[in-house]
Amino acid sequence: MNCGGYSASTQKSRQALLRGQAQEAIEHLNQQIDEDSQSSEQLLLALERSMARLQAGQHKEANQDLRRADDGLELLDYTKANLQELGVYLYSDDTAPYRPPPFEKAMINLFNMINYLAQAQWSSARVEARRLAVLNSFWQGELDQQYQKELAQVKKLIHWMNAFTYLVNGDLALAKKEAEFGDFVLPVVPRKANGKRYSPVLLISGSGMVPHRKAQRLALGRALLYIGPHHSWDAHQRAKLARIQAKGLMKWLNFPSLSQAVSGGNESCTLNRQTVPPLLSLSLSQLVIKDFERSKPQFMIAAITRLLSRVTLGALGEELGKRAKGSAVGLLVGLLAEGSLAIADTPDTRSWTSLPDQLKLYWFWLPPGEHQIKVDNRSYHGQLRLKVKGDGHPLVLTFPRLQMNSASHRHTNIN
Amino acid sequence: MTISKYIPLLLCGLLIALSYTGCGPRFLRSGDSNDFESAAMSTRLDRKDLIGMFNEASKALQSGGLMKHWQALHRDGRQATLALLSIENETSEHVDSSLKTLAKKLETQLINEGTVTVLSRSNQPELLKEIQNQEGKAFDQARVASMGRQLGAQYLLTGKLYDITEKSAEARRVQYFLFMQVIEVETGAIRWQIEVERLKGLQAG
Repeated sequence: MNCGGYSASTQKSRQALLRGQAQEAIEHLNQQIDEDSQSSEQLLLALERSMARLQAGQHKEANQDLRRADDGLELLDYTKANLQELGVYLYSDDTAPYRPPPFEKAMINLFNMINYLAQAQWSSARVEARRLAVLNSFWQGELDQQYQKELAQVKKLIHWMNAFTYLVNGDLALAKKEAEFGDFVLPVVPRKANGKRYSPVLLISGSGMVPHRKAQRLALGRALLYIGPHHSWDAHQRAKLARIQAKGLMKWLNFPSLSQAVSGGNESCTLNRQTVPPLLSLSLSQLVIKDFERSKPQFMIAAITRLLSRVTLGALGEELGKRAKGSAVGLLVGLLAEGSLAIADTPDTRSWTSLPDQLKLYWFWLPPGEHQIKVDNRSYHGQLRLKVKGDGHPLVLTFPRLQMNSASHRHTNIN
Repeated sequence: MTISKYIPLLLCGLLIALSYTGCGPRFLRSGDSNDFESAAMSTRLDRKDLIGMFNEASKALQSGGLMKHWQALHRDGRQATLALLSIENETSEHVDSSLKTLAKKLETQLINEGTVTVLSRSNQPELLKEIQNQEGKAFDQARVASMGRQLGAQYLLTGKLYDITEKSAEARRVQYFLFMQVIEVETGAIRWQIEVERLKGLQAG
């Protein structure tokens, strides 16, 4: 990992994805991925690759990445990594295992479901629907009301996706239950047209990219001002911080900040030249920003504690050096000790960086015949012509290349 | 300044460094390590779970009245015919391949015993799929009977796996419930049924 941390090491793949070069992004990520490793970084890289593979229409491979990350991150979730957590206060922010925020966990199962649906693997998608139901009830038991409120749109998306999944699995009762939980009405199934059945079509469009954490160096004084309301230091720590400031030492903190999101902008979706409003819009960038703001004071405290550890160790090295060889050597040993720790200190820039800024969901019933679907947003302009047979077979179209799940429907990607 | 004051800090550093060291990986085969063979590595169904489930289901089928009936028919030279449907996954775990293995194990045993004639799934995939689809919806007895006749099966062996999964900050627990049954095609009556339970979990540590 370079000194810019995780997000800097994945920059090339993000840029390729934003240019619409999914295969190039996959190749960048392949160079970094160790398929046998279960480290936090490797699991996150698998999540990044799953987004590139989804964009490239490689749904089966995307499922493999998502399942690997799902299993591995859950294991890390239940790992009491006390020693590594301690490292956050001694060495570096990213020594502790990565613990994804709730919305990222939900996205793992949601994107897994989307990839299964896109392959018409209805029963595997149903497994993901049940996993999301388990996650939802976990949130109800573990998260406070405010946090749950922030996740309201994610929950709604879960209910919509679950309803569609149960419906295509032939379980209307469960689909209706999801609609009831999500407080929405299921789109009405139209009557048969000339004895032929309508096909339910789900279109999931993602645009832009969420903000990611980046490494930043912040002067101690500024950091202390910021952290003031969030933390009270003990007398010993306060005295030490005052000494450091009084000495006029240029002490810097390594701290993550958040980049700007790549906005997906306004989106329009037309079906046979008629505008179709989305059933649901979810701003993942908003969730990323809220999660970062929530974690910021903790990052600051850890960064200042690391600074104190470095200064302490530097002083210890200086003392030991002085005793052995004199004051000049002592100073050098002290500076080396402090300096090496400062180099090892990388801020935690880990997160699922290639998630889209906006997710939009459309659901319509199509009669047999030829149809044209067009999606326009800032990061994607595309249209798709498809022929629906009239056998009622569901279709799932994914972003940003409109991929289709069914060989039973002839289609042309005009893009 | 005393050095002793910083000993805990140095020890912590040493412990962190040690936590990154360990033995290298090695490949294993059956019999190399009992711990490795029996240790649960996920909350899905593994070999040990499958063997346990198979043994329970097989034992119950062998000792049930239906098998005695089949054996009597066999002695009279009138062998019953059975079609094996897949075991449906109704859980929150991706265990489809485990369930296929379990169904295959049961099929293998029934074929080798020779008491009933087992109709191959691969010979009639479309028809079996249609019957299977019937199961997911309201059970249309007349339709299943008709399809069973087309298939030449007098009995259908089928199953469903359910789970109750609970997750907390300290653990995730998956309780599996496997239900298997034999349906008489002609009447739609359930002639044999069994429930087998298994528990898997992940505890913080």
